[in-house]
Amino acid sequence: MGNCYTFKIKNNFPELELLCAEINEIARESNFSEQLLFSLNVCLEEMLTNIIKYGYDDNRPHDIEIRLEIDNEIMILTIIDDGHAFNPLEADAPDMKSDLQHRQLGGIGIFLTCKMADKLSYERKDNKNFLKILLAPHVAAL
Amino acid sequence: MKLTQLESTDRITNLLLSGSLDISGVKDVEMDFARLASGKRAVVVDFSGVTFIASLGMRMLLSAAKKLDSEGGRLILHSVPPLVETALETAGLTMVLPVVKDAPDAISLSQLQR
Repeated sequence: MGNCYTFKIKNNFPELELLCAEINEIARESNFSEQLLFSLNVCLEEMLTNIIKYGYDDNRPHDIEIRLEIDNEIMILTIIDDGHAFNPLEADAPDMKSDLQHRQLGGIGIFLTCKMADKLSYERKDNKNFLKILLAPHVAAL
Repeated sequence: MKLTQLESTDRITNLLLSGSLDISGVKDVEMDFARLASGKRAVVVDFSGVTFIASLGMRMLLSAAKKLDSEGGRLILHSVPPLVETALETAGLTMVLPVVKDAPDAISLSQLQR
């Protein structure tokens, strides 16, 4: 069996930056490919930024739990938040067609995450969002 | 994250970006990048040292490209590492933002009439 790490941050960007640095340190020691590390960072940054910016209906601090499971060739990232229900798998597709002056980047973060992850699953339970992201470049989707 | 202005002419501003364009990287350079990427000129950015980009970094590039375009200039990226280029392509940015092989290609492109 591999290793499992659990982190807890508040919904603010300074804590997110520290979390990313800490997770990168762990991931680097595990000898994953540059490509997998790149994908991991896209998933972390995009999904957590989304939760911090748009996830809550109040201005209070909230806990976000992040679990990282690492096993030989695969990584599973689970993000748990108590914001309002939001399933990124049902988000609107981003604008990929407009010319430069009309191009908007809304939805690009979720789109990039879906493209770079090998599998995403979402569940709403106990009034929380559970987003599970599988990164496994050499393993067929589980 | 570091932004350096290289030798430039009155028509071309040459910039070098290096490091990770993650949340803290974008914060480090966005003000200077917005200031340097303006006017009726080609802003040519050497991306060879950029190790990471996500939507936040893409927003910085897109808003500079829009501003330059409206002022009669343009933004051109070159020497983009494969993983970064794939991310830009996936996001559809390479359709509105020229990405070329190297510095000479960027200079030739900047001299073409738009």
